[in-house]
Amino acid sequence: MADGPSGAKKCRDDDVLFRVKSKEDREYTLSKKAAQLSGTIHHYSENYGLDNDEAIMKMEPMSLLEVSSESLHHIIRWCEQHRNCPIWEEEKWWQNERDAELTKWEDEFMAEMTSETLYNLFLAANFLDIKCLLDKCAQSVADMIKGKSVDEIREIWMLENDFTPEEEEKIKNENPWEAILRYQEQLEKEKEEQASQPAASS
Amino acid sequence: MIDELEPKRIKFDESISLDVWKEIFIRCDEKSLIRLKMVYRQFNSIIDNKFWSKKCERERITLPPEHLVKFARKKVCQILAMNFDYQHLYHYATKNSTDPYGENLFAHLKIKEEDMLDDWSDEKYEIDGSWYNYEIWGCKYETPPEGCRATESSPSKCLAFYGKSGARTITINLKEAGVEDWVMDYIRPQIFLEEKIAPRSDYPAGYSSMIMMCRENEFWYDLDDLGTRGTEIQQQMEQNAPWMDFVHRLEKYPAIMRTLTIRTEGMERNSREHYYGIKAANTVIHLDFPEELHWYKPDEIEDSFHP
Repeated sequence: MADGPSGAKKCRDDDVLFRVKSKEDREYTLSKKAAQLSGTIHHYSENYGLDNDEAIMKMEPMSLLEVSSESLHHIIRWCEQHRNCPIWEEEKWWQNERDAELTKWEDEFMAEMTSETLYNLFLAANFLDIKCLLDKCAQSVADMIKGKSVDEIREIWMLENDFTPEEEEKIKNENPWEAILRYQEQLEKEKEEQASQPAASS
Repeated sequence: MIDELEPKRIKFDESISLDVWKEIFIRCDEKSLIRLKMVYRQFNSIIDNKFWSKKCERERITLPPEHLVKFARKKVCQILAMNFDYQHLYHYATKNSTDPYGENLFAHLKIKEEDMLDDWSDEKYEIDGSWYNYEIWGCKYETPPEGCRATESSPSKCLAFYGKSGARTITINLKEAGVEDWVMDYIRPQIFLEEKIAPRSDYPAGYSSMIMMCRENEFWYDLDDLGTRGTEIQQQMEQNAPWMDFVHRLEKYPAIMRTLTIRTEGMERNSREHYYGIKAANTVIHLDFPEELHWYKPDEIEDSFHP
């Protein structure tokens, strides 16, 4: 049996190993508990009778044709780290109060990712339906464009402007919120300035 | 590790499904979303009214009740080209930390009980929030309530009113709280106030509650009477009476009202021990939309101050 990524080995205890195969036909294993974080693997297990340890021990590797070896390596690291979290079905547990150590691990994990790996990891997490990872990836991508202008966003996500000038004008007019927000910010700024003035003079 | 000077970039192409976009956008802040609409044609169609309702749900902002949305949609086709604008709700609810369709608007008032007067005095405690104003005069906070009949269901803390003139005034700008203008004018939510009240154990006590609606920039004390704008309820409690549930509902008011005013006063019949007064706790203020909704015509209820 091919070896999984070295980082994942440590956190395996006696749990039975689930076999998966990447796009490049490379085999990996992950613990049953870690595998249950993926909705896709969960459904696969149900359909192929992989509901007991014996069946999993005898299983043929599950082909993940959409997932590259590199992404799969990261996915397994993520899942093994989160193997004691509630399984995939329990929605949004990660939004509640959580383990500070785990959060720190996650942040370091995401910081390691280059844009390219993040992009692939994101698609793989989506394909495998790993909600907690999907959440983290989506948040990372969302954070990239925080406070950026329209042109900067296009640059970061490498998008072409596909509006005609007329459409652009129309959307601006239909979308008064940009102006409302700017106006409210202006008001608040003036308020702050007014509040700080008497303090400065005295 | 990526070079920190080089901003992260991601090439997005056709392989990204709509669901993935939605997952990203739902985590963006309001300003980014407004800009995203202008970035790419597909983004503009993703970030629609339905998207904003999802965004509200994610931030735990209560959506308007379903029967109200249904009723409005039916009416809107006939009369107005409007419907609930969930971006409007999201904007105000996040900006002012409110939840206008939630269970209790009072819970969103940032009252610091520890800052309040701890003894009877003629001073007032006031907070001027961006969308509300809270003012008490001749009141004090008690934890636990002092000298009144305690039962298992007694509240753990309360606001005690000075017998003769203790007063609490809450004004809430419902527009700033996140309610759209057309809801205030055509639907007119009923205003619901509920709290537990009790007298001191050794004295009877009186309580008066006023709910009134004002226009924006109008103040309740400039108007010399309630007229068609509000109602008042007085409640007398016998000595040593247990905590009771007090409910006050304002069902009808004229159009163009935006500011809700709730004024509660201590009202003593006998003021020998003058500081003895009523106590109030577990205050709930919410906008209520009864099952049978009514679509108001602008002049259906006459405004007694601007006929």
